[in-house]
Amino acid sequence: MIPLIGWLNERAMKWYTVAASFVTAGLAVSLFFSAGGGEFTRVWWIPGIDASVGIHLTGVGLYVAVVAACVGALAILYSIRYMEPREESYGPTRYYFLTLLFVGAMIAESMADSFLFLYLFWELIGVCSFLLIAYDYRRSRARDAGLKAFVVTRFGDIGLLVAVVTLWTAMNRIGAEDPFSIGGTIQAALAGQIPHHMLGIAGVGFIAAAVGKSALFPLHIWLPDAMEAPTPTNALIHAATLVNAGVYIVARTLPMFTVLPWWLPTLVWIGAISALLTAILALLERDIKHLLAFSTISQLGFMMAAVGAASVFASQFQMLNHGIFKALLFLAAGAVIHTTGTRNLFEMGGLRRSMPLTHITFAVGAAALAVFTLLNGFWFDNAVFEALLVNGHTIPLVMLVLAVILTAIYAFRMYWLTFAGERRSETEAADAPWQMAVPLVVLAVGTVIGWLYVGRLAAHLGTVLVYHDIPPIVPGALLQYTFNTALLALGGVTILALVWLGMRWSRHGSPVPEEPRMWADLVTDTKAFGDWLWGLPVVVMRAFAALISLGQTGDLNYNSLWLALGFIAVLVMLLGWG
Amino acid sequence: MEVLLPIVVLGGAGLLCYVIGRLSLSRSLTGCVALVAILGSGHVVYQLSESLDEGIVVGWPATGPELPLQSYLRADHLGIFLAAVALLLAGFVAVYSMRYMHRRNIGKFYALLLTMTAGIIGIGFAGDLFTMFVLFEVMSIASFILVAFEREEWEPVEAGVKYLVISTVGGLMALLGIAIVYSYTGSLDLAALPSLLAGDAGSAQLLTVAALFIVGFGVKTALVPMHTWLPDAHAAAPSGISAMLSGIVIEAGLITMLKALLAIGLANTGLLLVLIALLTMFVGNLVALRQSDLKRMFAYSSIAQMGYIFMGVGLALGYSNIAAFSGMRGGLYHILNHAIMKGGAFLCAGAFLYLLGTRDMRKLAGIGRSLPILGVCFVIFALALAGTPPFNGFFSKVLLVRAGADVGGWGLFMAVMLILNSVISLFYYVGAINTVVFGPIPDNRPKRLKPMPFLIALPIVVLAVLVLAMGVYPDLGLMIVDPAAQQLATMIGFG
Repeated sequence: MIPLIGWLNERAMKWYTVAASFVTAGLAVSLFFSAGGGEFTRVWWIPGIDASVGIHLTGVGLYVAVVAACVGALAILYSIRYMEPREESYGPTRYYFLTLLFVGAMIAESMADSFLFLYLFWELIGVCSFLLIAYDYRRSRARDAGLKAFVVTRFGDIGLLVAVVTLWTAMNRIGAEDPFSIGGTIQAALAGQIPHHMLGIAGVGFIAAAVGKSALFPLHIWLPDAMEAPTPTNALIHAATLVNAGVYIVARTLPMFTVLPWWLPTLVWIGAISALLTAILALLERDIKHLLAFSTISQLGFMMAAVGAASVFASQFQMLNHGIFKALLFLAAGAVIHTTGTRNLFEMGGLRRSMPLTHITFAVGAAALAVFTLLNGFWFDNAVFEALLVNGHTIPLVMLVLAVILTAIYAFRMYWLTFAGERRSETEAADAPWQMAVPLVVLAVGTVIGWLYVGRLAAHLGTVLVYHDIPPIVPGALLQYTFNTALLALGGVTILALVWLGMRWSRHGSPVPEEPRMWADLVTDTKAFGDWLWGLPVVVMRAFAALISLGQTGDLNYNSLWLALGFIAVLVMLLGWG
Repeated sequence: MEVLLPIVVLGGAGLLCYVIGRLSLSRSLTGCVALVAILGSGHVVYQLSESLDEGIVVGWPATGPELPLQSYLRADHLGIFLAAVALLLAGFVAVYSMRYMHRRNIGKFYALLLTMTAGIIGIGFAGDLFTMFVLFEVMSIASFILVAFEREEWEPVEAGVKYLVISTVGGLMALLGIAIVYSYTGSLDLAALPSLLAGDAGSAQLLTVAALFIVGFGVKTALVPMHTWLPDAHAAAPSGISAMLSGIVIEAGLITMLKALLAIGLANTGLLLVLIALLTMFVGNLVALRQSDLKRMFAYSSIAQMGYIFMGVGLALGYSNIAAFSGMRGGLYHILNHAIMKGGAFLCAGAFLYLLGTRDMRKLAGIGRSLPILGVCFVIFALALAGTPPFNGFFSKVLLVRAGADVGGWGLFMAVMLILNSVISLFYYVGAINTVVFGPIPDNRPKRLKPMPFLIALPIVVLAVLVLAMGVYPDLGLMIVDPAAQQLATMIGFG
């Protein structure tokens, strides 16, 4: 629809997009309140391979869908002004088309009850992401970043494809009526009908897929580069939706793999390493968008670890909140970039007075980043995690606690550098126009009140997730528990101390180092040398290609030689085997 | 008689095309004659498939082979599958070439195109090894001349001669194999041979014959290390012919090999074929990474895609049980898909070549934005070739991976290798999209390009729509793939 309308009238196209996205968001939210046990429709699609397209509303998927739809709507509204300067060089139709397609694919993916369908939309959001990152196609950095994101996440997609096909084979062996159904597969796995080695292959596959899509260690290298995309795209894709797909898929398939002893600890380890590593990187980074990207990875690490602790609710709660406040941070950062024209934190500072609205919303976002991460500690303290602790998984726990503290530190560092202190550049700065301001305010309000619904969400999840085990939770108990835990109290004191320190710093001049910081830049630019690590296979592959090309001389004599050698080889092998 | 009809129609129309082209020098008229012939044979093939579904065995001569060496044609599902794919692609190429080719030798071009198509259809319908070999050579000879069609330039001639020499060596090897079979059994009838040779299974002679067939027909199929002719030939040929060569001729070589191997009772070749497939896909993909010539890159990618197809077929032959059935199915389906998507990709590259006179990707940079429709088609073809949903290449790959997962063991290893190869291939397909569609337009390019002839754009767009349609609704292709796969499975001994 959009290319058509866009062709007729640009302005109409934009507002059509906004309207469509808001209607979608409204529908998604209404589904959220109406869906009980899950609505279910199914259409046979490819009779040849027994593929069906099922739509099944599950609790986990619904969260993803709601976040995608709501944040998508706000990001599109925000884009209308943010994207204006670029419209001279790039037609806006493509942007809005891709964004809406992306939101649609994300919602469809989260609701699919067929692994095949899930895979299709999984790839579709990958393609949309690639095209949106490379939106600015005249800059080679944007093109390269798009390519990198696509290819790196493809490594994870291999895992997903292998897992889907393995489960398909397994389901066919037991003669299932609908071999692609996710619910059916979970049932079969719980009933012990799927052999363990197949389940193991599928488990590895799903972890690989999640690691790729959620940009966790060791595939975390694509997300910071993806910051070449327009900022609303970052808010939408790289904070609120696409990266959640990875967490979603492991949360969705979690019951299937509870029989594998190594599966959950692996998730905890991956989550802990990602969370700590990228929290350190975020602390060192000086580009505000890269910083937010690292922070996203870190948060996803927490979510993954929460899933690994079999606490699906914690991960979903974290995801919901993270979706809101990270989108808020991105959009606020976008407003800052929009007016100052720089992404370097050290060139900002003192924007408090010139951009009061952005300042307040950004502060809310940064506080949420620190506080919610801390709150997450509550969930980690549940019985399952204690079980992990007993089994000797203390190291991930320590890493996570460290990461929580670092999160608080980098969140406030970012805030001070941007808004507090003295102005460090001469550019004029002013608050954003209303199309950009409204999403900021809405998201800020959402951030502040969102967590109050915790009890309702828990109850809701408990009813819709048949196979998961969700304990009921009420906000009062949450608060009480939080303040009664020694660990969390310690964290709270740390944060308070840091806030106080920060206030002092901002009064007594800037905390910005004057000396060059080569080593820190090197570490952050290479994503803790992750780029080099992954560059290696590419170099090896190139070398192999060069080696094979040597044999491809184009000389007829050599060609005939190859033919003769091939014949001899085939003959020898045949005679040898026969 | 009906079996012979498509071949006769195409051959006769080929002569007619030559005469008309020579006399009128009109590209549209000659092309239309060729198109009518292709549509006519398509209709006959459709009739054949109808009568085959009713259980009527159609052969020529109708009474079956009487003498031991009598030529015999017989319609079966495999033949109909091959004919359908060949005619489909030939139809698009005929339309495309009406504007793409120069008018000077237009009659010769269409005559050869039709002869080549007739040869491919004949391979599918051939009932004995001798007829199959003759028609295989008919196809080959037509393709040699078509590769070297622009004989004023050096590159096509060199490529054509290379192709000729290597193919002839391969053909002679296959002929030697056929001769050995004949000297043993005194018969060349494909249907009768398995029972005649049943006692000799695993003997050294039979294995030598198998090796001769694999290498001999493998030259045409572009299996590594017999692939060396392909990049030159496919890059230098006129683009329509590149599409035909890549889309159906090498696949016809594969089906020839398959029919010959089935006739001599497989002789334990299964896992060897899988090994060759592994080598083929890696070499094709890795070398394609280094190409800057668009058509040459697609040529190497054809080698890799043959590796995928061969993997499915090899698994089906090697394991010969029902678990490997989706390998056969996926292999044949990939033949159909590859014909459509690679055909489209070559036609697209040809359209760029027609406009800018270069195949160098760096010089083509940004052309996809100057011609948005072709650009979108190019993206579709490249993503389909890389196996990205929702395009057709994805589904055949899923079937191939499924085959690997079903048989387990080495099959699973092959499935992972296939997916790994898909990722490697992504580097060059997406790289090509990045350059050709999104790359910066070079300064020295003229502001206004030649107008794009409608008849060049039409086949490309229709093929792109087909790619999408078959990706969204795979049953469209499985309709003609499944009977053929079923027939092959029965011939191997399962299903």
